Amino acid sequence: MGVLKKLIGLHRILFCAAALLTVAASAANLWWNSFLADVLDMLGAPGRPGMSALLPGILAGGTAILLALAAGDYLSFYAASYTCELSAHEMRMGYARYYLRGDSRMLAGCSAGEEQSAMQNELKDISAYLNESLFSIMKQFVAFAATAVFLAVKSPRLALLSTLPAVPLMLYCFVSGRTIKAYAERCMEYQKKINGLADVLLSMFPVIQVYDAQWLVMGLVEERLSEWGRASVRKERIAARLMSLSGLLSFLPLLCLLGFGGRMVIAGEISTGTFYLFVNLSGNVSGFLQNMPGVYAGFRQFGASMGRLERKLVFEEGRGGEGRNGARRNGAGLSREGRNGVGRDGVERSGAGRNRAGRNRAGRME
Amino acid sequence: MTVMPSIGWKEGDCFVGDFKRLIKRMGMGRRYVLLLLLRAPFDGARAWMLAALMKSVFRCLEAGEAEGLPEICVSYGILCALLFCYNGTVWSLYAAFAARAEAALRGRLLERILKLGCRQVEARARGEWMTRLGSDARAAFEMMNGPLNIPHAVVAILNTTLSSALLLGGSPLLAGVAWLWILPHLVLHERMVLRAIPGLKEESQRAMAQCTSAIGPLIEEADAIRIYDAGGLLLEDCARHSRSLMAANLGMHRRGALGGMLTRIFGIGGYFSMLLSGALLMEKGCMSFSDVVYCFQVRGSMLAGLFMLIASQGNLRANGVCVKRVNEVLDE
Amino acid sequence: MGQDKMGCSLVEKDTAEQDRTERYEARLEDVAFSYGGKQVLQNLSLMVRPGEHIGIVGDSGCGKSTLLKLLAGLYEPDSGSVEVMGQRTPGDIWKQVALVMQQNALFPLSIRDNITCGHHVPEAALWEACRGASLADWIKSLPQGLDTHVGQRGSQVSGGQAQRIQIARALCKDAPVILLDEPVSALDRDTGLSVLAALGRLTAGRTVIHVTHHPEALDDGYAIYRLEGGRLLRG
Repeated sequence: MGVLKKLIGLHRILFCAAALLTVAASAANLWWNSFLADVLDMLGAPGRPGMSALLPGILAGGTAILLALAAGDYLSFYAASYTCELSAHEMRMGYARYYLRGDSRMLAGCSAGEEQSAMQNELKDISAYLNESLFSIMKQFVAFAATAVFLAVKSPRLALLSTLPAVPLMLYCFVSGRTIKAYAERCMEYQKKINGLADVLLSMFPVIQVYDAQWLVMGLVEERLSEWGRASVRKERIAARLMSLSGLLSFLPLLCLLGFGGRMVIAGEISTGTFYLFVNLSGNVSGFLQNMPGVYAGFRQFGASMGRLERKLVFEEGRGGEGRNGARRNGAGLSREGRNGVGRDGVERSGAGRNRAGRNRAGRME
Repeated sequence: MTVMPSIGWKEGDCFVGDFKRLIKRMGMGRRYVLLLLLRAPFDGARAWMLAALMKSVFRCLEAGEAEGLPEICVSYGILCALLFCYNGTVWSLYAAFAARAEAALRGRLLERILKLGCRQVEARARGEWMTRLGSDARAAFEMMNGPLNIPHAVVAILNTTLSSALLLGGSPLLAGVAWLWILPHLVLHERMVLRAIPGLKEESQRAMAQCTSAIGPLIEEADAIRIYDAGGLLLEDCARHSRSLMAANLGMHRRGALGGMLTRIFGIGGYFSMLLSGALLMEKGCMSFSDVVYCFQVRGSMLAGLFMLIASQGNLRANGVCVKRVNEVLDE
Repeated sequence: MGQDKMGCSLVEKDTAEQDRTERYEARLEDVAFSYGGKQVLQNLSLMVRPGEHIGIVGDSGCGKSTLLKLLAGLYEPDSGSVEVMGQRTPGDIWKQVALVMQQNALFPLSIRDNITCGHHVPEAALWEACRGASLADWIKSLPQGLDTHVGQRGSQVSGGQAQRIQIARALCKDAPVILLDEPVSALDRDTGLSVLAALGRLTAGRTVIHVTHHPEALDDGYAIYRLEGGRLLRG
């Protein structure tokens, strides 16, 4: 997770802004639900004034919340995406800097194709996680925490009754998530082999053509593909069955809520508005608990991908982005000598003494 | 579907046309359609079941019949178990079929590349080939079996149709109010969000391929870079491509954020209007609260179907670009 | 020039440090280098005087390119020392050498970027380098001139042009020590000859170390050595 820490360190303000906007969007959502419960209670209250009297107040409140919700959603989504994209850019540049700083002997042993493919796959996974999950998890967590507190304040008993069935479901999701992951990992292994084969095929293409080795290669391709195909079918089949069962189990908290909550309404312990609020919001709590194993597994996988990349990402100390501290190419009028030692690209250069080369170039270049 | 033309799938749309071509050339058309149709009714049936459950519960509340609640919960629980059993069986068959199709597609792609001439292979950078063989082929699988792609789109169409009919049966007035918000939403979403997605996705894929290719010289020309102090130049080139990728992705995110905002405005706006209209109807004694709740629930399913369809369209268009690239390779 | 096994321009071990840096532009002393567990070079010493042209020949895989990379500061020896123009650290050595390689070592950028490598070079100097490398007429005939993109791995230019671009790059750098790694071996005979002419302009008056497995590419001005079994022998 060192990479994530560094990325957050590089764009502290952006990350904070995105997090704050996420919290604000969740707060607006709770505000809307609370308003809705009040409206329902108001409408269901015996001897309430006519709709024409209530309408202006309800409309004004509803419009204000609607605008806040829309703005909150847009801003939080965009801020999160911008932060994640900037982080992905930093990582790509970190990858590039790693190769620039790499030892020639190590680089001579690298296959450019393999490295490119690894970069594309690994960074794609990480940036997809950043974009689709990091802030989304934060949003879910904020919604979960705020909703749990909110519902517990409204009716602790019903909150507990509607949340408890989600706990065994969470355990089930944990176990099924691990099973699916094990299958997925096996699949990934075979996938890697296919990628490696594709790389060999492309780099050896002229040789394959000249020696008419297509059928030899194709035999290898078919063998690897059928291995991967079998693993992939197994994984998909298991995932479909386990996830379907999880969908069925996720009905349990709702059924409990409807059964127990309905009794409480009839007993006059809670209002219909509050009951409706629970029906609307309990999904935030039970859904989060249900997703937790997946979230945890996703986060661990993200951590592992980050860990793998850690040695391959070189960040500029004290700044983000690339080449901001140096002269722009052909623009600043600095000669080659002028830039030696500056480290425009982040490659350390010593500014050791000038000699004949320095003199010559000074005369020639500028 | 009366609304479909505004967000519609025309034969000429690249994501439908190209995917159809791909499935045809893989020789899997009939089986695919059959499995797709078997999967389709799940969400619609679930939507009806949920709405009926809610209505029954709230009717009990209105009548003050606490003893009816457990019976309702158990019956719907059993119904739900049967439904998920069916879904699990069909889904596992479908997923296995899609996985086999992906393996076959990759095989076909590699075989096709092997049959190309050297000149054709070298006409594209290695990063470009790796992208076509990797993420583009993956996108074809995603389109077939990924979340919010073809299966979800088909399920969503059926769900939306069924929910619309249920809503209309529940209350034509509330159905009218609901559609009054849904139609402009669909039109605006199509014009402001969906139309831009394929171009932006294509740009993003191109930028990704260029960005990947830009890393190559850092390894292959490492010696020249060190001797000629060309690290800055190459890093700047990488940064340029990486920034292009970032800009293309941000373009998509901007549209995504806009789509989210529209969904909020029209979704909550519609709900609110329905609530107030329902309150008026309840005041006049035309409807009970359980009927209003039923309409909310059905509208919720209808909207879920529509949003699923919209989200699927975005993904389908984005993945369609990749499928088009896969077809290009197979056509060469 | 005593002991054959020790290579050219040998000097007594106890020569003063000051004397060393003044008399030799490049020196390898007791260098050993292994690659993937295989000993490629052992106890190899080489001293090159200013303006001297050294040709190193040997079979493929005998370590010629490795020797050149050691001289260029791209590889660090397992033991022994490498010094070029009195510099010992890789970063400093890089500033003193120019390298022309056998393979198409072009960046997927424009001709201009490939020659200047992103550094500020006055237009006149740039064209002078192009003329020196016999590139000027060809570049002028291109619609986008110096801004023509060379493609991935130089796919948009011929092998001869790619080598000339490398020569122009080296001319532009104007380094005191020129390292040539089979610069013409991948070219046909006629192209090879014309590239050799351009190389002649690059190497004139400079210290040159040229490795090749074609001794015929080396003219009379070269002192020729053979790399065999990880050691240098007088050719």
